[in-house]
Amino acid sequence: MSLTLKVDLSPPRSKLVIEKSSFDDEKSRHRKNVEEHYFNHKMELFIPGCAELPPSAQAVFDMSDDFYIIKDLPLTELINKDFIENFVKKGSLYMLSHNTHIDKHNVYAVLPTGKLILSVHKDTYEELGLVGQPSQFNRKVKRKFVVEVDLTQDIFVPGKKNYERVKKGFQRTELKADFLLSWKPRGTRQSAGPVLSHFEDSYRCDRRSQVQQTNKHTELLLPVVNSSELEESDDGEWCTAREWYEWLGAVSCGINCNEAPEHYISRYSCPKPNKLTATAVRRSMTGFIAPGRVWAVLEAVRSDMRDNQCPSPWAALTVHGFADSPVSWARREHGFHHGGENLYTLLIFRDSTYWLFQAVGTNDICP
Amino acid sequence: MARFCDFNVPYSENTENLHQIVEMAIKLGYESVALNCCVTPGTKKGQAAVPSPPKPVELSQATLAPLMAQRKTFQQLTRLTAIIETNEQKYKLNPNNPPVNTYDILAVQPLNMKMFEAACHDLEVDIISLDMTQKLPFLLKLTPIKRAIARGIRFEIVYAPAIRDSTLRRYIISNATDLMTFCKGKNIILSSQAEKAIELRGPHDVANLGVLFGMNQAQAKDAVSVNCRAVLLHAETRGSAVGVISIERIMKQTPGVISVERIPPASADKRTLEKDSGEDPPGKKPKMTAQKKIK
Repeated sequence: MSLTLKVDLSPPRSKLVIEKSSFDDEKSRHRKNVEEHYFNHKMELFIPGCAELPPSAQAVFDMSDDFYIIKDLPLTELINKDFIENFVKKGSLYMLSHNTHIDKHNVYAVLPTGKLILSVHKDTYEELGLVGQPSQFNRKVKRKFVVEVDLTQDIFVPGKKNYERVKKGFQRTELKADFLLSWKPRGTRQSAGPVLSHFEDSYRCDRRSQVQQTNKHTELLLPVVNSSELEESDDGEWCTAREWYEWLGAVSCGINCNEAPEHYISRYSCPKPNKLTATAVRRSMTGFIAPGRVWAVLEAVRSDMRDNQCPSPWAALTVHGFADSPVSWARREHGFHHGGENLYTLLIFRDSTYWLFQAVGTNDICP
Repeated sequence: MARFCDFNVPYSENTENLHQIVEMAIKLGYESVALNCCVTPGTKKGQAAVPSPPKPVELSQATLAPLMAQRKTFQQLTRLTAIIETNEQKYKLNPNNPPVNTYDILAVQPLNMKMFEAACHDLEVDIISLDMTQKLPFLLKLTPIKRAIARGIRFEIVYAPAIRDSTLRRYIISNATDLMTFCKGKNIILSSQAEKAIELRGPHDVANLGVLFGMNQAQAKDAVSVNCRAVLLHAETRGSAVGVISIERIMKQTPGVISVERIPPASADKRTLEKDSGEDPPGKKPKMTAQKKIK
């Protein structure tokens, strides 16, 4: 038998990008990173050495920021002229289809840049009749397609060929889904009320608030990190960035890292060298979070550190994206293989420097 | 659409056990199961060659609640696995035989080389299932397997026997890797053949098992989702010349119009494609989307 079998037992690949920079550096990409991660599911702030959140950060978390779930919304509503004029063009509109899995079903999203992204199956794509690109994952078998409709274009008005074609496609396929919706009007301090009244008459709308949770840790071992060194030290004076990140993940999951490594259930221990801290606070917010809120928390933590309201050496802000979002950052495609993580963590130091960790799963483009 | 499926849940009269298995499947994330009747086509006169399909298991609202919340439906299908050894049994599997057509999926388990080749070349089946728990009674050859893949037939690998016994585990892995050398990971479906609820595993775990057999990551995930959907499409077009049409059944019946219903495959002339009968009801046309030849 001349045929051979290659068994590749390596685990599905995931990617982690670590970079360090300073907030004051003009080429710093931290703003772009926060603002282009459109769909955020969970935001977690971890501050060691404090029993409670410092005041500015607390204020940002307390500001209520609700989002809406609209049930059974057909896609033809998204290309409605009034909708585009009043909401898409006049602020940042974030919409993501709810309870649709990106590897099994069709997923639809509206980005704040005004683009409508449809990640559809081959059947739907052929029925839809619009031009799109095959998915960048599993390119050999063209099974999923990504269609992009630019809603903000001047020529995208009723009567023009492009608009009519898109409309006919949506009417023919009768696509609909539940949508998570969040709208940030530009400029004036307008509330998001108008968008709800636009949909309330015809569709069932639910108003939801972000779920907040506070965890307090006591007697926690913290790894020692040096803000200017990511890699290993020669004398074992500080931990590497990867060790620190793994430790933070363990803390977020509630794993006790203080135990000795021979413990039966968990052999994970805090990386050395480490220091004992009396308290630490971890505040999380889960729901549908706009990037603006993440930016506000980041700025609040930075100002607290500058004003010495917060005695800790560093703070960690982790933001998780949706597992079923069609995009991770900006227009980069995101998929789900056995996991759909797309998250980032900012490790903020007192001296205005930071470390940025960006982690994505298998079916993802390296950030 | 690419939902996770388990196409081999052995049907038994013990409805309590079957109910537990189906409930566990829902909990693990499967959206489609097929109740499998494994029979040797009978040769006694006066008895139908194959039994009629089993009824779907009744599921309570509580079990279906999580799926309903996500607006998904749970699909229960019926499958017939015919164990064939002689030509006589093979002929009982033609579409003219009424009970055979009433099953959603048709599978065949050949016991010798001749039947295996017949299944790959001629028989109108959707799945070829080989008993991997023992040394295969015949050698696998590339030509019939290639022909089967070209015709759109899938090969099945079951994993529950591997959970039951370590010797069976060795045989299954060895036979599965043998099969992989020929089909290179294409056209494989992974299913359980679980006799108890505890023998079921989650779809991502089963996909990892596929990697162990020799598929790559993408193929392994397909083996539990997309390939199963392809089996269903193949079953729909079984008997017609080439499966190029996806027909959507229209359930509504408007007065004065002949309803459009599924035409049984034309056994006389294999070259005619399935066509609608009667006029189209006003306002609702059957959706015919041309697809690529279903492989």
